[in-house]
Amino acid sequence: MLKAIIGIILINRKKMSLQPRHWFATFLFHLGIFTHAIWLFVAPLFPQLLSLMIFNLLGAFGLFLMFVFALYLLLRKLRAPLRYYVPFEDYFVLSVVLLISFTGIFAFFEVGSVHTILVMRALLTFSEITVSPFEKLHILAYFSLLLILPFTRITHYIGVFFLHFLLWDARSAEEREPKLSKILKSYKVKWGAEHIAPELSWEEEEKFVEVRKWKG
Amino acid sequence: MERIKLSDLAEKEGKLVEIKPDELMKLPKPYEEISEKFSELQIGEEYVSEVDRFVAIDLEWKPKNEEEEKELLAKFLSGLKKLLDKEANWTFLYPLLLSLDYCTRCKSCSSACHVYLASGKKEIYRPTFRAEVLRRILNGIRGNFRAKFFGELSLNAKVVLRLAELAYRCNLCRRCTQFCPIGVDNALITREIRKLFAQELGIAPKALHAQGTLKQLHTGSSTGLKPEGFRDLILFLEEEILERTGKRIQIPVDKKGSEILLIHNAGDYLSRPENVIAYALIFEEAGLDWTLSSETFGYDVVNYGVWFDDVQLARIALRHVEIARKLEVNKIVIGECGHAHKALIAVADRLLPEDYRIPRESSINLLWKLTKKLNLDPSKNDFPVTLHDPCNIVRNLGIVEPQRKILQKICPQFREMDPSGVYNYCCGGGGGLAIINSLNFPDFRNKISARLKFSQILRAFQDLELTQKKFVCAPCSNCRSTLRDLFEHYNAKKFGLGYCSLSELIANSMVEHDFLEF
Repeated sequence: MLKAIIGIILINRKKMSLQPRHWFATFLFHLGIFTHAIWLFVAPLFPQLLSLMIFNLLGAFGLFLMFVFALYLLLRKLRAPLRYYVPFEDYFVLSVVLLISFTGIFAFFEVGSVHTILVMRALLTFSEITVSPFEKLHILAYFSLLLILPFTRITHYIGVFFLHFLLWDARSAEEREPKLSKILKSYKVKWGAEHIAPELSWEEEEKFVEVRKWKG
Repeated sequence: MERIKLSDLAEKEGKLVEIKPDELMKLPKPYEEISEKFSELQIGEEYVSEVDRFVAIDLEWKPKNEEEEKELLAKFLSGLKKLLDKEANWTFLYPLLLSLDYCTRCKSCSSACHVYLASGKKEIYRPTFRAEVLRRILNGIRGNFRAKFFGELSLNAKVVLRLAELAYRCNLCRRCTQFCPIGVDNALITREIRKLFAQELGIAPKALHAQGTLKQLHTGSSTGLKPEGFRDLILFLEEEILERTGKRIQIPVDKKGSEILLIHNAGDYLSRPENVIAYALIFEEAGLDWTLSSETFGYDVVNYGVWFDDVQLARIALRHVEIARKLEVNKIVIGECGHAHKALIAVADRLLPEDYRIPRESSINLLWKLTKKLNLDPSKNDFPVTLHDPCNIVRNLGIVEPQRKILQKICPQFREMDPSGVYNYCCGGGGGLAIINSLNFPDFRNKISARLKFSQILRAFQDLELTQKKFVCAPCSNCRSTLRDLFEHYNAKKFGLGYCSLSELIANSMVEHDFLEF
């Protein structure tokens, strides 16, 4: 993951030059998510680390970054002309993220991060624990995020690692071959314009020579 | 400034936006004071002029009554369904859906788009504008939840007409994709829109479809060149070589079993034979075993299907491979033509049956290998040269260094543009816009889409005297024809601007006489 972050910074230096403020904000936003996510999974495994002041604050720091820059992104998307392009989905997802970070920060001030880790452990091991009101909201917001996850573009965190493959179809000819032959033989062209014979398969269509007179 | 909304596409009467000459991007010295005027040509009611003042699709396809409107909408909707169909659109379905679903509206692409910047930041020229229109129309037919959650757009005949016209305001240069943080391909979406209209409704500019691909499939070349005419041309070229260089060269035609089949853009034979001659000189000097083909399809490597039609793209590519198989050559070398590079090198393998595979090589690569062997005299090219990077060759295929190494070797005064390499701007004629010359469309190309390139070229030579002779090296015949029109339009010859191909520069440093003509 560290490699991915460093790679994104190095490769995208040029890309950043076009929208520097937006890049800065999204970068810190994602940094907040990564920080918080790593902390959330590392802390229950090594609870002794929590005695370290810095590590203790790390989760809350991630949440803080998430909150500030999700707010920035939301406000940015409310301005014209961007507003005309942004669908309801964007506002919804950002609001859920805002809710998570907001309740999380309050829970931190309410019971501290040690208790959060205990709750996390209890959730992972299905054991009982009493939670404070803000923690309840925090957990609720988390689960609503998990619920909407597959239906929104949040799944880009998976897709981005296959970017090169998808953009440039980086498979070798041998890898492509078996599937391609099948597609060319069995798939129908279907399109309805005059110069296309819709009932043919793709391979027949490619070799098809039109007999109709061409009228320039 | 008045902002265009997406809903205006369906509602607004008249033109979507009024383009004013004084709002266009300013050009650098010596053109900073130039006052631009658009042509006064009156566009008839039968053409779709409801987007801006330009018309790319020179067909009379506007519905005249309600019945025709309904028919158009029905056809468009069936086309949309085929766009999402696994069999009808297996070629690009996956990247299309990903590009539609993952755009985060950061607008990095707008700042990367030369058309948007040069037009004075007009909303409708944003790469995301037409993409967003298609995205919302598709959301509308992909289910109720999707329509409400991801946004929808009401559909009527006006939207359909305007969308088709908007798809021809893009050069398909993919610079926006280069700059997109998550790789959303707006050029691909634009091409899908074009494809939808071409493959379902048969609607595309005449220069691309009726006079382009269809003509090529029937006569062998979109220029209308016939095999007999081609053989005559070759004889003429041999004489031309003798006259210019004093060398007696026989250009090999239809030599069976050669190592290399070289296919040029047929436009080069007719409008700029120097390029063809230069290749003949270089290949003969290097002693290559090469041939041209005089058979139908064998002398024209262009493939306009790259810009708007998958089926015709595959048909033409297949015919090119057939020629190579008939001549029993080892590989095809593609002349300096950008979209042909894309069609034969990047796409053909992914579209054609297995027995139609043949090794292909870019001529630029080959030239680089040859320049290491040849005896070249750099002092003959002692004038300022800058290099234009054709999108299809550089950004798409990643051939970036060879042409630079050649120029560094043979041109002492070689200088880079800013930006250069994969970040270079499109010439403004990509995506078929270079060959659409009907109605007032050249105005769009010369004044808007090529504007940033022109300013970039002027900036590259900013430190020189105005009248000094200087060259733009453009290794793509499509780019060269755009530059020709552009320089003519701005009368740039007066300020010493000329253009040439890579091979011409090499040939110029090889022969005794001055080969390069200004």
